[in-house]
Parts: sequence; C-alpha cells; structure tokens
Amino acid sequence: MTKELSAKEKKKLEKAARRAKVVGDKGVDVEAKKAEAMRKKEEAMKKKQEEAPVRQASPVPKAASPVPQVAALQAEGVPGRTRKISESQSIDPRRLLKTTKTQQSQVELTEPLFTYMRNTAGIKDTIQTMGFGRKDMFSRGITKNPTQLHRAIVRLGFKAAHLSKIDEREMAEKLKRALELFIDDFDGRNFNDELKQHHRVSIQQNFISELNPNINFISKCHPMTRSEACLVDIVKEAARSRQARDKNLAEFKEFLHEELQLFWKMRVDEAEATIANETFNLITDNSTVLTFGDGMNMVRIFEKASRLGRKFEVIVVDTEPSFSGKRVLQCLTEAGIQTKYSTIAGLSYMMKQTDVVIIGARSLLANGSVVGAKGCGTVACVANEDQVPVLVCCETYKFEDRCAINALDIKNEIREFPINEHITFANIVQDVIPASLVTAAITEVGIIASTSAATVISENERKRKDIAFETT
Amino acid sequence: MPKTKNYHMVENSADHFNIIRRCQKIVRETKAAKKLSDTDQNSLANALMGCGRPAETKKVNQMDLTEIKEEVLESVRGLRDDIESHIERIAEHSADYLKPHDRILIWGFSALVANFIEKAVASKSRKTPITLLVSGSSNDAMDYQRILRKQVESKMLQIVVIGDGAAFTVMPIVQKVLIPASSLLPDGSMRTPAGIRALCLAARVHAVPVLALCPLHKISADYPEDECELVQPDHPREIKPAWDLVKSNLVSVVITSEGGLPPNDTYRLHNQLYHPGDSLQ
Repeated sequence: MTKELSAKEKKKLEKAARRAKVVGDKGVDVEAKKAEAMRKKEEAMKKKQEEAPVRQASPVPKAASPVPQVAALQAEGVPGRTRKISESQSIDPRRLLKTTKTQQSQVELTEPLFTYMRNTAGIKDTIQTMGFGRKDMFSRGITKNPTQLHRAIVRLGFKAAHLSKIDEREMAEKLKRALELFIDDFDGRNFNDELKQHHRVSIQQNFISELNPNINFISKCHPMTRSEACLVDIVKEAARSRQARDKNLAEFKEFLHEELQLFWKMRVDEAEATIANETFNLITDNSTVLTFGDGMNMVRIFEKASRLGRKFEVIVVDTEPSFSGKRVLQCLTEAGIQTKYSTIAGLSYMMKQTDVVIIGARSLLANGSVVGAKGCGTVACVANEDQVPVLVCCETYKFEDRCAINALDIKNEIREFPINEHITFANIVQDVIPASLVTAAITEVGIIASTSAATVISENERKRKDIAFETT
Repeated sequence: MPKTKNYHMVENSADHFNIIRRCQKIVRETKAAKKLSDTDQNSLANALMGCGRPAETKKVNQMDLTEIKEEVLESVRGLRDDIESHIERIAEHSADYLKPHDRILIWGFSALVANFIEKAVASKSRKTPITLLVSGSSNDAMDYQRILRKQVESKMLQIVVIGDGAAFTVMPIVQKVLIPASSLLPDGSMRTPAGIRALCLAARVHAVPVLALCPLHKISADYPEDECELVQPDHPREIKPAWDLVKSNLVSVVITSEGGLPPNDTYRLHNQLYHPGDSLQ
C-alpha cells in the first residue's frame, strides 16, 4: 500500500513540476518542492531502516551504547517495522538514533572532536556487562564469557574509571599493591583441561596468561600512565626471565615479590630522594617557585627542601575541573612553606614574580617533550615568554620511547561528560610540553637536557640486556 | 557564587573619560570645520600649511561654542548611537574573518564575541559550521548557550567546553582565537579579561592568528596609571588579577566597528578620535 502511495505522490509531484516549469509560478513551485522533500525523506527513512542491521555494526561514536543487550533489541526490532512507514514517521523511538538524509548532512557539518582519543565514557557500561554492578561489585550477573579477574584488580579498575582526579604516583602504588595481592593469590592450578592433555604449561606461562586479562581490564578502565605500564613490564619480565624458570610455586612468588620490591625501592623511592636533593640545590634562598598542582610528587620534594633549611615561597597554579591544586596548597601550608594560589587566569600576573618553574612530569619522551597534567603546557608557554626557566622532575623509570608532537594523539585520554544536551565538557587528561619550552629535566642520573632522555633510555636498555646476559 | 564580570558594556571607569575626550574632540573638529568653510580653501597658503590644523590647536572660546552648538549636539548624538549599536556593527565584519569549518578558541563569556560568532553562523549566504572551543571558567561558558541556542540546535555550531588549562593542548587543531578587549591602549597593546594572555602566547607558539574585538569607545585616550589590579579572591591565599596586558605583537588584527586594523597602526585611530591637547596630564 505504501508503494502505491508513493507512486501516486510521484505522479503528483511530476505533474506539479511540469506545471511549475510552464507557468513559472512561485506558489506551485514551493509546494512541489515541499512535497518532493517529504517524499525524499520517506524514501531515505525506508532506506535507513533497511540498512539498519548493517549500520548497527559501525555505530556513530557517541550515540552507540556498548551494552550488547540493547543493541540486540535494536537489530531485532527492525524487520517488523519496514511495512508501516507512515506510523513510524510520527512515533519512532529509534528515530533519535537513525538520521534522515538531511539531518545526516547537517550533522556532518560539525564533526565531533577528539573521537580518536581513548574515551572512558562507556566504561561503566562495560563493567556492568562483565557482571560487576555498582551495588555488588563481585556478583556475576549475566556474563557470556566469565573472565577470571582478580578482585583487587577489579576494585582498582573500578575506582580508576570513576575518579576525576588522578594522582599518578598514587595510582602506581595502588597498582603495585594489587599486583602483590595477585601474586600472593596466584596458584598454578587453573589449568585448561584441554591443554593439560597435550603438554604441561609452565608456571611462568600460566602466570602471564592469567595476568594478561587483568591488565587488559585495567587498560580498558583507564589508559595506563607510564609508571603503571612500567610496573607491569617489570612483573612480566621477571616472570619470563631465565632465573624464574626452575622454581616451584612458592619460590616463584617470592622471586616476583623480590623483583617488584627492588624495583620500587631503587627506581622510585631512592630516585625521588635523589631528585629532592638536586632540587634543593637548585632553589636559592628567598626565591619564588611556581609549581603546577597536579600531584603529591612536588609536595614531597618541596617539603624535603624546606626541611633541609631553604626559605622559599611557592605559587601553586591550578586548573579546573579537578582543582587538584587545592590539596597541594593545603599540604604545603601544613609543611610551613609560604604558598600562594592561582588559576590560569592569574598566571601572567604571577609569572612576573617567579624565579623558577618546577613541575612534575608523568613521562618524558624520547624527543624531549614532557607529558604532564592538563594545563602544564600553558604554564611552560607563559614562563618561556617571561624568561623563567622551566624544570621538570622525572624519575628514569618514567622515560618512554616514543615521540609526540602534541597532546592530541591516541595515547591520550579524554573524559567527556555532557553538561546539557548540547554542550559537552571535554576534559583532556594529559598535556604535552614540546621540548623547546623545557629548560632541563631533573632526574636521578642528574640534571639533564630533556632531549637527552633518548640516550638514557638506550643506556638503560643496554645495561638490562647485559645483566640478563650475564646471569645465564 | 558571585558571577564574574562581563566586559561588554561601558564598565571600566576609564571608558567614561574616553567618551568625554571624544566629545572634546568633536567640539574641536566642528569648530575647525566651521572655520574651514568660512575661509578660502584653495589659497596657496592653506595648501602649503595644511588645511584646518592650525585652527584645531587654538582654544575654543565661548563665542565659538554658541555657533557650533547644534552641530556638536548632532555629532554627540551620533556618538551615542554608535555606542549603542557597537555590538552589531562589529558583528557585521564576522563573515570576512570566520570561514566554514573553523575551530575557534575563546575564553570566558563576552557578548561581543557571542554576537560576532552568531552573525557568522547565521549568515544566509553560505553555510558556516563552526566549532567553538570554550576555555576559561566553565560557569561563564554556559552563558554562550543562552545567546547561541538557535545555532547550536540547528547543528551549525558545536560548543565544546575544554576548561582553562587546555588552551595549549587543543591549540594544534584551532584555526583562530577570538578575544575581547576591555581597553585598547595608545601603543596598541590591550587590556583583556584575566587569563587571555596565556591564550595568546599559546597561539603564538602554534602560529594561530588572534583576532581582537574592540569597540571604538574602548580605545583608551591615555595610558592608565595603575600597573595591576586585584580582585577580591574566593580563598584567603588566592590571588586574582582583574585584567591581563596583551602586547600588540601577540595580536594579528584588531576588529573595530570600522573594520580590521593592524595592531601597530592603532595610533592612527587614536589620533583620529582624540586630541592630545585635551589630556589631563
């Protein structure tokens, strides 16, 4: 019936068009155009409905729901609807998802930004599909593939996905604790029955195959920072190393624990102490230091410098939406250091009074750029203009082997939330300072130019390979 | 929570002085024009000496005032109309500067900027989809939706709030930066709402053009006396400046009601609007 209707309408339109051409009357033309547009709309809707199952596979980035049940419903409901087009025009709940041709061309005009960056917006749904609901974290609801995730890892991933303020050192500590619990609870008993018949899987491979889904889960919850990735690498490498080969279960676990402790002690704690000493030497008496309020790293360093007897003043610069500088301000004032507080709005004014800018980095890249918290790029930029040196504190385990020119690449994370139905708040979590704006990097191997990070990385690699070679 | 200032109307007390100086200049001009129409224009002496300028530097007596009162009143009324319509007149130039599929970075809320963008997006002659990246305090950013609601709903305009620290982060994909000037100093540098200098510096690093919107009544007649001004902070240890000084080398073009202007040539406009003999210094 609908086909007849559209055919009749077609004839009407053709007549009207012919009349319009002959007469050249404006009124008829407008009507003909309107009817034409309506007909085209209907055809487009019909086409979209037919194409719907294909389209569901490649969803529009923001509008798709990752929950499989709803997607199944959508695909299922389509065949029943293809006949009643006139009904669907007025009341179609799925019209919000499917767009007509004209709407689609309008939507394509302004593209959504930052779609290539990792978006943790759908993470709560993903966690729910795995069976971990909000109320009872460990109840396995409707899961298709029961994933054997350790409870500490799940807890960590859950918290990380919902946190708005990320202190990356704290995250690394939490990950370390979770990994330790995982190692403790690891028992080499979860063999796959099929595999057991063919060949016995070694403890090492078993451990790694159990660890991998956990790490995948965490990286889905939030993109891992360099320090966390390093921790995971250490554990994996220790598990794969030749030393761990001929150990039984208890010795294996002890070995892993030892390696983790050693790494943490040497490259994290002691490194921070060395960096604090170097920074103490760099801050002169009665100087003003500007820092960016993103984590407790700098708080510890400044506390140590002040305990060693330096008198200096700190200006804490903060950004929204997380305002993590307020905590830094509180801790510094409790330590007895004179502090001032400002947001980016007051940055230009404050920069005239500062002697040196010292910020903490999340990672140092091979081309000398620095990955830091959101907003540190602006601070470095303004500091350069006023000829204030920019120093970056970074332990060597945070050095990374890639090159980034700006912050808008795949490794970065964006946390979007809609303020109302039209405006979204796009919070880009990390920022990249180009190497030209950074004066020097303070590490435990000394005060180096930030571009020398590549040399340090290759030296470390060489040393590690030498050590591994020696012990075989 | 107290709302931050909107720098779009005559808010600074310095603006009052600007308008007083404008009126003084109008008086001088009308007097000079009157003198000019009386004397012989085509004489050689006038051609050599330049017409009208000697007449301007003389003081205006009481006698002259009664003669030129009508014309002065008319010009002052014209000035008042200019001030009332300055937002629309600046917005008329938006089509020259904002192109389709542009991504524009702005800071905080300003009615000047909002109308500028609205005019460009709502133009009937060509489709100008624009993405607006709003940095600065996100409470201010919400005001944009009030004015630009129609454009956002028609999907020609996309508003993304990025927060104040992300100016450097998103700058690689931004095509233009729009800033409102709260006053334009005689040497071409300008005072802007606090935080915009950081934005302009980040734009310079990434070679992004900065457009400054400045109505004529905000062109400051004299150099201001205070070096900085602090606003009441929300927190005892907080320091909040009222405005930022943006030097003229950071800005690419200054858009006034008359059109675009290179920032190092603003002294010409300044000479046109004000007379140095009227200054109080």
